[in-house]
Amino acid sequence: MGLNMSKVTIDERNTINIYVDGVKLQVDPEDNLLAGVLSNKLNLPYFCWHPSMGSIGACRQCAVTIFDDESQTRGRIAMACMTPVTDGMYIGLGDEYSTVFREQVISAMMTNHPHDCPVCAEGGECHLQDMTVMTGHSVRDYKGDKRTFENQDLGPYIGHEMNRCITCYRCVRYYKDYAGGTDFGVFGSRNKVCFGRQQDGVLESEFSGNLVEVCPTGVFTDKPFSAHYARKWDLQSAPSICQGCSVGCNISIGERYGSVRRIVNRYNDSINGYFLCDRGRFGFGYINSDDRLTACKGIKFSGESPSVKDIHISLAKYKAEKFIAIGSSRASLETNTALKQLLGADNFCAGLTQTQMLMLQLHQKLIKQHHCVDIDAIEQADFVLILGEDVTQTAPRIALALRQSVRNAGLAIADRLRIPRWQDEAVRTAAGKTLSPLFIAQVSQSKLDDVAQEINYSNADDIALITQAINAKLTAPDADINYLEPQQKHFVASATKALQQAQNPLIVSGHSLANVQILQQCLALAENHQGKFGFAIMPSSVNSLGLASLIDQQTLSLEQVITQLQGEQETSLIIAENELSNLTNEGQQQLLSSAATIIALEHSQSVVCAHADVILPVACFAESQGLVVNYTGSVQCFYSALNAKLPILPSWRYIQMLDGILGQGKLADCGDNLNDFRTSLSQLESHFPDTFKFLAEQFLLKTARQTHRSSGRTAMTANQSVHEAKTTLDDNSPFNFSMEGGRANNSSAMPFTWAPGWNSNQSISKYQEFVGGKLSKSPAIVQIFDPNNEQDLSIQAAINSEVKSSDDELKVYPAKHIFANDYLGIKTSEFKLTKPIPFIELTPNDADKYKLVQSSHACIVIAGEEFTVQVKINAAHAKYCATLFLNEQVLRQFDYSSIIIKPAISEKIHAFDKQLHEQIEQINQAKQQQLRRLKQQDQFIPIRLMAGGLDDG
Amino acid sequence: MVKLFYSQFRTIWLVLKHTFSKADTVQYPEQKPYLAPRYRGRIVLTRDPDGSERCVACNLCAVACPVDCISLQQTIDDDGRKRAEFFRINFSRCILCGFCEEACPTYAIQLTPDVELAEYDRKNLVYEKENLLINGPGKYPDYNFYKQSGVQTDVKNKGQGEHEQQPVNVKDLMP
Repeated sequence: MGLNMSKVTIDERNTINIYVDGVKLQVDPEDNLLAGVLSNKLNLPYFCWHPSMGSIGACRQCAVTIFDDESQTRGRIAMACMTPVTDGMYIGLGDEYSTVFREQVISAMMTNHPHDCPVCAEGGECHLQDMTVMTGHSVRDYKGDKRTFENQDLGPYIGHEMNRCITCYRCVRYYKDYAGGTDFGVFGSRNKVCFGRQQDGVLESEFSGNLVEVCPTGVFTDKPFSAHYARKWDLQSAPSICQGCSVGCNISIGERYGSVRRIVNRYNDSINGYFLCDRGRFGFGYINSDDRLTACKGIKFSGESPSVKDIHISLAKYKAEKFIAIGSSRASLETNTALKQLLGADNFCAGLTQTQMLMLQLHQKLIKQHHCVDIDAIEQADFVLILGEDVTQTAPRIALALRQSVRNAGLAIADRLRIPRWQDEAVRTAAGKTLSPLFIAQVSQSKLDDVAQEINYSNADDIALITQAINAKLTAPDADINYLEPQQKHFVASATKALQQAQNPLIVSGHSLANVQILQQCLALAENHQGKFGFAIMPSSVNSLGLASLIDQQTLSLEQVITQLQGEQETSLIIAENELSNLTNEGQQQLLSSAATIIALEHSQSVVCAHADVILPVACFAESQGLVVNYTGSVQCFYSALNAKLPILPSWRYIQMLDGILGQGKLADCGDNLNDFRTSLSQLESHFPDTFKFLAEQFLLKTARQTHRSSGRTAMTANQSVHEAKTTLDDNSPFNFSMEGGRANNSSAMPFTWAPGWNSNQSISKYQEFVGGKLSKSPAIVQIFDPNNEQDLSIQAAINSEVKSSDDELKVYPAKHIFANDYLGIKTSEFKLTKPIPFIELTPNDADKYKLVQSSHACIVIAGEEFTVQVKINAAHAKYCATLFLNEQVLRQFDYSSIIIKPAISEKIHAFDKQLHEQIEQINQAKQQQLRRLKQQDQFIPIRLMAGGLDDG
Repeated sequence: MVKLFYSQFRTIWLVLKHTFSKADTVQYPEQKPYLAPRYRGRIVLTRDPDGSERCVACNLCAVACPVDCISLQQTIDDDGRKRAEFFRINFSRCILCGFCEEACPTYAIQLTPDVELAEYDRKNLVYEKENLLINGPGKYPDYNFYKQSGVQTDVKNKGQGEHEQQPVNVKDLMP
């Protein structure tokens, strides 16, 4: 990952030989000496170099001695990260010369490093600690005073403690050069430089959380984690998949005393590399929130935990009713498949609208027949066309990859000048402002605009037209595209021209504009130019494509469910992990009030739970195991970091229990082990992926979820009982809920990253084939859509080549925001504080039409509901369009066709401002209260949770 | 041969000599033996010279403990200090090895010469923070961690600690 070099396996690399302390090693001639030494799993301390960011030689830590030949005893010191490798070179790593030098570099850094480790959140996973120990520096010789700095408030996510800085410059190189942030920099001169913002304020970048991992010491720390802190060695971790969007980034969840503490990046070369977005890193607040459902409703227990018998007795009265099951794109593949099998395909609704189902089918077809690319390939693209999707907000990790792809033209210049790609400063100087072509057709401004070659602001239908025109122009240069406006024509012309020169073009689009035509045009483009384009199409949710694999002719849409419910026959609903945010307020009410009985399987409060007759509390992703399918159709497995407290159970388990009384009886005999259950599902459902790859490891040595130095085992529950509970057995996964078992790297999906002497996440280089390359044990990736499967091709999604031109009435699009895209994310207190204030954005002309030019706020009326929003007037916006952000849009859809927009009266504006203040106060209070509750809970870890959950009998 | 006999008789002589020497054992509990101040007995949590808790909940004692009998949770107070939300030692597991004291970077956790830890009920051997905290600095009367560390707390502002310069003015470009 990184440096935009194409990914090869170790065997495909050309290597040359170098001699390190007399031992012959094979290294890559295109990479620097430090990378070569580290790739051979040798220990060489470093700070400023990063596999994704290359070398600048700022820290002087990776010194080695270079000899002229074997016989020489005295060589010269060189910085390994700035030294190219040459065939047969002789290096001293353990010689006295460079060893003493490295120790002295650390001792110089330590002259100003504060005596903070006990109160530092980085302690225990600190790269500086590791490197200090590695060089052997143990006593501070310097007797002078230490330099100090004032800290800055960088918002609710990142803590700042500038005293600890060793000026390696990684933060600013990451934030500005790699992630394209503009509000962070380095200030001051000589040995008094400070890294931060120009003034206090929330970091604007969507990728600011990576500073915590990029910083080799504790200058930048994870604030929510620090507030409820545990050392890395105490966290019980599990490999998981981020549920924030459809990218499916690999994450590692850390748990302590029964609550989830933090999420960190888990390296996967083709999906997320070394970096996560802030939605993924900080968006787990709902797991610990007060909104969690912890008790059953409508079920009488005979014992402590719900038994199959209890559920059957309590639900017997509903046995005669006709049920429809509603699945969800955020539930696991097992849950959705089980739900489909529970009541049969003709009583299964995917929880999607007609449009969404059609879009998913088109997407599925694109994946099967054409080339949908992962992040590694996105970084290789030399031409990018974004069609209507603001990926920075809907799939942020893709935007970070696109930022790297635009560097390719610059990298090509450096290649021509024979500057190696790891020479970061030289490459950037050679490249200057040269960027690969990035064309964006969108409704409103996005964060990628600063690197775009040309931007066209158009509404969704026009974006489809533009795509059609590009397709036409590529096929026949003299094609007639006069149906476009002049600006759009210019955009098409320049995009087509750039496209014709591109070797590796990429089309990025998505489902967020809810426009079928854009996807159809993408498909047409793919079909007319077979194999030319790579595609990255972003669906809305983590498991959207998993759900798509279950959709067939019989699958009901939400509209059809509503029609059925309002029909003559009384119908009931089983709703699994779906908050019905795909429906409008009216639709939700129709659905929920006309159902005879509602059985909800849910983990967090929602409108469904308020109407449900029976609530079965299910485990969220941190507490359960399951499969999700990302935007390229790759199936990935997430594992539980902790066991949920009863009666919370994984949803597939509850569905299995329901089967005996309400279902068709196909699931009851599938066994209560997830492995057996999956095997049975794959027999029942032809698209269900072969999960053997995920299971294979557990038949060998199981891996420990806790570190080998996890503490407090005999004291953490001693206040409740001095008799130590047996550890929970986990028959379903290749992991143990204890410190027993194989080390983390025993498993291909590593629960956490650690290597002897390397406590920070940088230890990952020990488990890669070569630094920045594939993992030596790559996690299993299974494709859900088999392109060779004939049966799959019968999708009825005809391509409409004649897109109708749009008319002049105002079109409203909901604004997307990284922190306010889904109903679970927004339960995180920090997200509530940093999400946008409700606004409407339109062009000056359109604002004039609605008399909004003079007013700061507008009054919006949608279907009788009134909202006050701020007015943003922006010429860089599609005309006859408005982008609207409402707090409620994560809970439900709005029918914008009936929208009325007028200037807000001053009373409303006052009320709006007052409400905003009150809300912020409430959120802060709730945040504190939740923290207090969690800290109280720390002392009362449910012993049943420790002692085996349901399996304990 | 002579050597062998000498050894035998010497042993007998030494044993007999002990018959007339003063007994090392005492009539415990009526008589209490002298235990040195650094004897490794019951564990306590001490306070700073100015009276506030020394423990910063860094978890080093817990991780050093070979029997895992210490558990705690860190919390940050409004004054910027870190403290233990709860601090628990299960003395029914403790082997009084003193590793925790050795690991403690703030001299908070100390072992005392009190060894009388017998209880009829094992539950009573689980000590919480209020049972462990004492009202003095223990063996290190002068040490105050927050005066040495770089963080800002109620004890000091930036630049006011021991061996600290005044905070850097980043807007100043003077050499």
